[in-house]
Amino acid sequence: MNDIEEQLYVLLIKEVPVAREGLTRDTTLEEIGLDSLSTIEFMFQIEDQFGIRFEQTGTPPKTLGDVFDEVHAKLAQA
Amino acid sequence: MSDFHRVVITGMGVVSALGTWPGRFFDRVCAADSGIRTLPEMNPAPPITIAAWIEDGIDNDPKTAVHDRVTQLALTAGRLALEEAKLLDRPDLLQETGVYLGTGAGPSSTMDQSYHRLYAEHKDRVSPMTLPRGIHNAPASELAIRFGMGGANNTFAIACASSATAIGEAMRAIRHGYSERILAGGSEALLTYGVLHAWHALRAVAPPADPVGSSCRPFSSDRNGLVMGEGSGFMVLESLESAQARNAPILAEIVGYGASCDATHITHPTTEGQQRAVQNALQDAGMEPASIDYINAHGTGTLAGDAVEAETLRTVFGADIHSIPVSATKAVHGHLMGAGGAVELAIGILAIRQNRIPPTAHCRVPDETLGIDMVAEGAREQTVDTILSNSFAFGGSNAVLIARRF
Repeated sequence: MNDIEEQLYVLLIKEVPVAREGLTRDTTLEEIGLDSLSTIEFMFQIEDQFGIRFEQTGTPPKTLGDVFDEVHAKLAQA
Repeated sequence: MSDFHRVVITGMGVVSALGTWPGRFFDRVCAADSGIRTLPEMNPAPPITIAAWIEDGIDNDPKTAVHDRVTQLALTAGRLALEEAKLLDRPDLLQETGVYLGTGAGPSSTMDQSYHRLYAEHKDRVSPMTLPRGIHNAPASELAIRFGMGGANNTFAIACASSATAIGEAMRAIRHGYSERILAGGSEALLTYGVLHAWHALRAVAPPADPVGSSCRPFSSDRNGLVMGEGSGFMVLESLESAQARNAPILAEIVGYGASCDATHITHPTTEGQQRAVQNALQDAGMEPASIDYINAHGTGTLAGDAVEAETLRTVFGADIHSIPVSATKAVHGHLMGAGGAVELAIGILAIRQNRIPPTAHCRVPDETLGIDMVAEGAREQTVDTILSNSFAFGGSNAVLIARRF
């Protein structure tokens, strides 16, 4: 857990009706109701907040950990 | 199945600046308790500062709150109607239920905010939800998705006749056996910075009066324009056989629908076109003009609009118009544009249910040249069996609905 990931949880809770308790890096996007469209919206919000851009290609994230890792990687490049 | 089915209403829902139905909505209409108030501050300040805007009563669960305001209003009023019709726990029936929705401006907040990002904030992209939330049929589709309504899903964009047309077309679809049950109505939420500017530019909007609540004064000699509003109204239309088979509450029967186009001018109404719509509705219902007990007028409060509508009523109803109360309730709930027809039909049906005719509020100097009984003095308690509701739109489209006691 770190500050970045805590900010991502806060952003996620704003986007989808889900409680913070019980959410971990292993939680899948599917189990919290993020379909392909809402995942794109979530990624868009992350990009806006952190000033980064994800690659349009590549494997779509399956878990919150996948999303967090992509954020860490992008921030490291910045 | 026979070729002709009687069509009844088994549930209604309204969300407006006067509260909700079920709720205090109709009491406030009858009490001439205006929902027109000073708008919350915007930065920069818009040129229009008053409207009938909604402060509470909108469902605010997270699943609803993510949508455009027009969809939020539709989800709320739609839920209220389905609840009253006792359909929320009947997924088997909802699966075959259609949605017919009228809206003039559609999801205008979504588009306004997206353009603001580009033009004002100089961002280089918009939210990926701009299209899914901003398409004109988003409110109807989200209603279908939320409640599992798998029947035909149609959106009507006919300015101020949108929801009256949606209800009329839904009635026809059920009457002729294409559908057994349809959630029909409309939603409008256009109090955005851009849309307020567009209406201001047209010079049809009334300035704030003292008190602000009396700014819209239909049928009054000192009327000087409409006041914009936001809201949503829905009703469950159902074949009589279907309603009786499931022992549903029957609130009223819809018996007539007439539609026409002036085909003359994009904004200025003409009485000939309006007369055709009223006559079509009466003919559709198989009724004589004298059968109507109450007329909810389009009555926006503009000088020309009210005069043309009164001429239409005098011509179609002849001497009978002197004994038929006519009120314009936009004085209190504002001009709901695409949602107006549905909300005003709901008022007509509540007039039947409660034998109570709502007044034309703020009609402080009744314009006697109009030659109609505009119910200026306050609500009347009297028997109401049959009502007629007018909706006349920019573009020249006219839609008229007739409902009666069941």
